[in-house]
Amino acid sequence: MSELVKISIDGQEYQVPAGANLLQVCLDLGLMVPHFCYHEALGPAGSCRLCAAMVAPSAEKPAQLVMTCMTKVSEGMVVKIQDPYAKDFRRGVIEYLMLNHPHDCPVCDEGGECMLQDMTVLSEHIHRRSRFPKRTWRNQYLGPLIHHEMNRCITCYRCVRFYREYALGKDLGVFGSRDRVYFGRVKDGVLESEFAGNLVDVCPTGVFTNKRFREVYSRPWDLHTARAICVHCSIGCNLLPGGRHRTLRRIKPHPHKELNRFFICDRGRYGGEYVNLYPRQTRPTIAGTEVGFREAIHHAATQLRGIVEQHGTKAIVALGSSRASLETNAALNLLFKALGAEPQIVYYDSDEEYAAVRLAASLTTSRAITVPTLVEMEKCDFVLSIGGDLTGEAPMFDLSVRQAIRAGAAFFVISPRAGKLDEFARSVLRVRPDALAQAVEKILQALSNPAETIAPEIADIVQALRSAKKPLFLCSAIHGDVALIKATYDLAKAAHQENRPCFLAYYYPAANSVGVALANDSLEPTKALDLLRTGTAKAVIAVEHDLATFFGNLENAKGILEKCAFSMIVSSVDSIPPDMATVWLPASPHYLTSGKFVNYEGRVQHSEGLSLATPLTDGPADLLLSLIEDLGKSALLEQAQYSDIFAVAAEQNVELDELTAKDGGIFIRGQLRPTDLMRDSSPSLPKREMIRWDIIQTFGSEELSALAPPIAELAAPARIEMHPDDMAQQNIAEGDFVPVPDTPSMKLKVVPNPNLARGTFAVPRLPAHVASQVPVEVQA
Amino acid sequence: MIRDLLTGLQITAKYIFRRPITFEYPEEKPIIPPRWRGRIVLTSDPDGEERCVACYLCQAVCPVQCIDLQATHRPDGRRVAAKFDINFARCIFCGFCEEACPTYAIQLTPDFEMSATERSSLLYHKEDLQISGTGKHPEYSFWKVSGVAIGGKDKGQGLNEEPPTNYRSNMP
Repeated sequence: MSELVKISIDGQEYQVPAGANLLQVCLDLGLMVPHFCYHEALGPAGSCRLCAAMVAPSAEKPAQLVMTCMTKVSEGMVVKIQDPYAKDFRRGVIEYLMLNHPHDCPVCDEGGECMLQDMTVLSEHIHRRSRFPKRTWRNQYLGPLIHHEMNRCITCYRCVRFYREYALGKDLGVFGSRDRVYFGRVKDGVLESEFAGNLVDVCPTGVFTNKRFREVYSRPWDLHTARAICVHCSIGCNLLPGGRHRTLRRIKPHPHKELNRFFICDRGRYGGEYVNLYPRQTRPTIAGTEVGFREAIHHAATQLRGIVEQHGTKAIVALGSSRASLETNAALNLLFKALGAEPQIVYYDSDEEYAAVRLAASLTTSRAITVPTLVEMEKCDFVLSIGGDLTGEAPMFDLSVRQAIRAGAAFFVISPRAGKLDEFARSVLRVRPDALAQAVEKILQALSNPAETIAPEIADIVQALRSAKKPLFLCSAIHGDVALIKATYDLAKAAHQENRPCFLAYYYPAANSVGVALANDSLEPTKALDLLRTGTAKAVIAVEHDLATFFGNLENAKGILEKCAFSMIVSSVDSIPPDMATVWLPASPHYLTSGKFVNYEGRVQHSEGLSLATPLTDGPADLLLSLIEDLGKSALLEQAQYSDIFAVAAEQNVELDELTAKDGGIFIRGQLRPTDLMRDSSPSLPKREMIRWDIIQTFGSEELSALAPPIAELAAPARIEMHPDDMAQQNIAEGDFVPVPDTPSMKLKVVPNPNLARGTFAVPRLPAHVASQVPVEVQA
Repeated sequence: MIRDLLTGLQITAKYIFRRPITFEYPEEKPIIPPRWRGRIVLTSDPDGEERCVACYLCQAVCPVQCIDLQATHRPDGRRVAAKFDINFARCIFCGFCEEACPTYAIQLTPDFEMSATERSSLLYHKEDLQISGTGKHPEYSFWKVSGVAIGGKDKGQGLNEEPPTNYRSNMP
């Protein structure tokens, strides 16, 4: 901590850190100084002139009126916030700010959490004396997420300071001069930044409001809120969803001091709307016939027990879920124990994903690497993003890296396809998906053998890495590249020196990927598929796992389910038609149920559930527990320990049990040994001329948020991207339809992309429910 | 004893020839002061459109939580209540809602005759509450003074408003 100085505010003595911002000091002490343009993340601008107070450098010197946001505290300073002169000044300022403010409060969505309302009351401005006509503006269309109502603007510049300076966006600006200052885009259109939703929170009044919330508006004081964890990527941002009556109305960020301190991405803010689209079939079914919950659960219990008795302990295969809580997956595991069967649970969709995620998670949770928090990332001076597009795969990493870039960090990218951050990179290494690991190994070699001449394309990276004080490596574990994960780990280890900490963060496909990676009984997807195809497994249980994605498509899923003697789906979203399974159990979705999630750092956080009057009350975990109780094995639940089901330190059981949403999370101590996983990592694939690369889009690639209408609206159309040179070589013209590699039944339109590695087909990753609706060009 | 009896009879006789202070309700109606707080109504603008903008202030101020509403938008941009319920079985006719209403939409009337034999019939929906008149404040129209554009009133056409500013112009 910096040294403390003594200052006096309104006659009270306080000890505050030297050199701190006076306005922030006052706010931290709970002394409300009216202010607009100052924002903790954006800093002071000194433009609204509202935070004035009388300040004297010492008791002997005369006091003068200063803007507290532009003043640093110093020893002996005497501050008078409530000085009559300062109060009068502030009242005058707010009167000017309110001069053109429309009479909108009753129909304004900001009402109830409006900073302008608060500050006007605080500054004791009561009556509009001006009789001049009010200035008006035309609004702009800014996309499906944000509503623009420019009349309400008080020109605090917060929006452009956030959008342009903080989030490094380009398409929102300020136009005009004097009293004709306009905040908007050059032309009407969708805001390009993935963080545009934060304008709603940043704007102190109602210029930018949440367009989705506007449709189902409720005053904030009427909303039921809960402290939840975001489910749309592996970062684990803290959220405050608000619901009323039967629906979730909006999501706001809940500040976490190490993760999302102020902002969240639009996927987190708007993706939660999927919660309101309950499964169309809200009653359980047995072979398509509607029944009660108790009956369905009893039927499932009887059937499963019969299958174990008849076909042995290996007859059941289950699909767990990396987007469901630890509790849900633990309940699934306990169900096997209750049945006396061997847990055969598969959490992943491919063997590559299985190997990659487990290796990355074991490195993370065994603390073999130093994983940075989002706040620590902002302070790094060297950032190397490897093998993925941060904006789509871990959006808040993108925002943190933007802060590091603003502070002057050297930023480098190694990836097969250009991302939005590439324009800030000092150099970009465009390599084929199967050559990513080699590229990283090349850097490692250059780093460890200083004598060798360095290849020119990596010279910049190696040089910057050598001189960096706080290097950061960000590596994608989404594309299932085990070799890349190992290579990046080796590089980070080599770069790690005693006097120079080196950060490495992997990011994962789903919110609880790290948690389920620690599950003890995890089956490889191909093994599970073999068990089901050959008929060794007689029953399949899918919990919060889309069967169509797992089996490739709906027809395959149907074929397998028909083969099984028994199948059960427990899901909070519509995945496959309920009548395909023997038993369908609709579950209450995330944000309405509680559970623990492990984020990219290995931080376990508890997500609270909202209590709303929804048609479904039980989450997937509750349904599975009722099933265990129906089997008469309630005793099992009482003895259950986290460490029996997940590879975590046994002494953490109590800690995990007592974890609440208020704690900010605890770090899990995983017992998976990375060395074991490195040894059995699968051999590299045979070299192919053209290779597929999955584009992970911020909007539309994540399974749950893709269901939310605003996210679906923003999703880019399905397409195949190719390098123009490859297209010329293979005689493919723009707009041709080409079969998707690995999914030949689907043909998509070709779009040239010069910022793509040669020899690569880039296809957006689409959840099965979206992919099934993509218009498919059928061959004549 | 007889004396006491006569005293009593004397009082009775005195009242027999006085005018009664009770009256024959319901045949004869009482005179209710105009500011009486009785049955709640939702009034309309002078132009006949509904006044309520679903701002939730009446719901917030209601001490017995007898008001439940949900806001929505009409295609012409007006914010209106999709649902507006008042549970008169719970209402205490305190008049706070009328005081809180920023658009003079919700008003209490001198009507007090709303007894019912069923509780459910005391739950009034929007169509039961909405009247076509303006009630008190006959000239006031919220949408004319608000800065929001609605069908028939573009930006700058409200009361005491300048036409929309052209920020691209250099003219002073």
